[in-house]
Amino acid sequence: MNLVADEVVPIQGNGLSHVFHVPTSSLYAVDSESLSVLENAKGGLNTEDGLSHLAKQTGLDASDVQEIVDDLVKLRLLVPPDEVGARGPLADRPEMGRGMGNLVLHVAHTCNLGCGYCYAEQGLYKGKATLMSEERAHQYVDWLFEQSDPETKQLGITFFGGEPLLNMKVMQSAADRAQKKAAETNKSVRFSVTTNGTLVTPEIVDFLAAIDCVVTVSLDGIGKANDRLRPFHSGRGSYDLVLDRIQPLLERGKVAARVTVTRQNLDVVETVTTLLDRGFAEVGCSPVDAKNPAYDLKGEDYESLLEGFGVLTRRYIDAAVQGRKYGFSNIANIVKAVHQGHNKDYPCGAGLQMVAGAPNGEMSLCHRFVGEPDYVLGDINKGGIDGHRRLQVLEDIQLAERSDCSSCWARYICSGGCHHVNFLFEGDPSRTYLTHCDYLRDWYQMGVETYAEIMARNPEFVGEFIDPGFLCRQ
Amino acid sequence: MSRIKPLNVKARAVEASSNRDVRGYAFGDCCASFAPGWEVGTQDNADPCPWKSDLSLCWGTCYWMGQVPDYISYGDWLDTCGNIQNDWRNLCTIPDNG
Repeated sequence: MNLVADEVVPIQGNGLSHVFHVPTSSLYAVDSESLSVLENAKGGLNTEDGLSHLAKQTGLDASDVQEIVDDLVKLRLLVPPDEVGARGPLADRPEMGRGMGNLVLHVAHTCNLGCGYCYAEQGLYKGKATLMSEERAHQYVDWLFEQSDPETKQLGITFFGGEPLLNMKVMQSAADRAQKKAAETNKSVRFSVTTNGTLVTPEIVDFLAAIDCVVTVSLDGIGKANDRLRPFHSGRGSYDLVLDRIQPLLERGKVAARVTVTRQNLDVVETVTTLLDRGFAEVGCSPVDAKNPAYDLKGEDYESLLEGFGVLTRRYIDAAVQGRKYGFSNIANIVKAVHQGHNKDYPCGAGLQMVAGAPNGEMSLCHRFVGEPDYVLGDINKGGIDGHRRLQVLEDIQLAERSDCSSCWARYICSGGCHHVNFLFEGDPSRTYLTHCDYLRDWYQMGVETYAEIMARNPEFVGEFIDPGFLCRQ
Repeated sequence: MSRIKPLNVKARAVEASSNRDVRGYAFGDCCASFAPGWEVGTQDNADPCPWKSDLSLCWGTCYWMGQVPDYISYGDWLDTCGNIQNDWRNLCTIPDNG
């Protein structure tokens, strides 16, 4: 034996055959004969016998088998046994120790809503209700610019909470300072905010427009479905008020909605459809992680969620085939990841490019880890991030350390999943929370099939909306 | 290679890698609000929060993902396109540095 099929996943759906090469996240459209050769080579292949054995097994001419084997070797789908699983230069390996490009500024550790599932404990993050001071916000902004790499021309600041609009004065002051710094340093800065939308006023709309801020509004359903999950502390619902207040923002056409999916609001099709109809540009859904059986999804709930995602995904495909976009963010993101061939050791930018700054000066791995002492990477009063500590944490949480993921075909796309979910359920961000895995694998498979179908039916959509210029580079 | 067709960026990079050094993963990028566009190019591969979508650190004027190129790698991407509505076909000029 001198060749063996590398780790591949056959993806078949909609009359199409594809092969996903796990070590490089490459995706190929294959004909049935090639797939047959690859399947037959799983146990190893001796090319010295003239491939006659393989020809007999597959019923193909020897010359066809030779052509297929040559192509499979060239594409690293058939490899020498000692090269099985090699990721090569196509793995996306981050450069450690670069400056941070993105800062999540926790301007308000308090919230006017009382969502029962909130990981931040209604914005308190294991502390007392606090608003970030103007001086602290300026410290963070200055730090972001000072430590950023000279070649990084774009920096990002997210206003986060709690409910960030409770501290508008400091948001405005921080934005003003960041824009001045950007002008001085010949960089640009992007702003975004994640808000519950209850406090939006015409003045705030003007401010957000002036700084070109991307706005994400959290909504968990339509009408009462949202109100049960996102009430004010008094118990009163928030849906009607939010939709009324954000109307001027929606008219700007760039507002995304973020839906936390719990056991109580599984009808994602109705939610996404209605919110898109109401004028949101995109809607994204994320299963809750509350460690509370009243909210957390169970097996059958994930099936229901996937069924809903399937309906929305079909709409996305139908629109893509017609050259239009459909604002269901979840599938748009997976399609993009499949297109790029994400092949990562880290699931997200936490600690790599992004850090969260709390009102008390502590800087944490990400916004969800604020208040967790083991994941503090530094303090703004002590020079910012401790580089040694940062690398230590990054080494601990990388995918390579996880035996749980070693046999999963989706491991380089998922990279172990959200650090905070792993921490919440397993007590350690480096231990994968396996309850999600079946759902995630099915979802990735749907993503691969979706990408493959779009590439078969309207590749121009990818060239236009996913990766401008891609088709020109063929 | 008539029977096997490389589809995505990595597959094309694998196909090309036997001939030349291709930067298969350094390409013009764009984003949805939940998937910011700086995960490739000089900033390497790392979205801020792709799994939970808590953050939307996106290019400010982004309405849809197709509108945002990778300005980090290609700062002059728009130079050949004075009017994006009329000149958008000229945008297929991101330099291939491979």
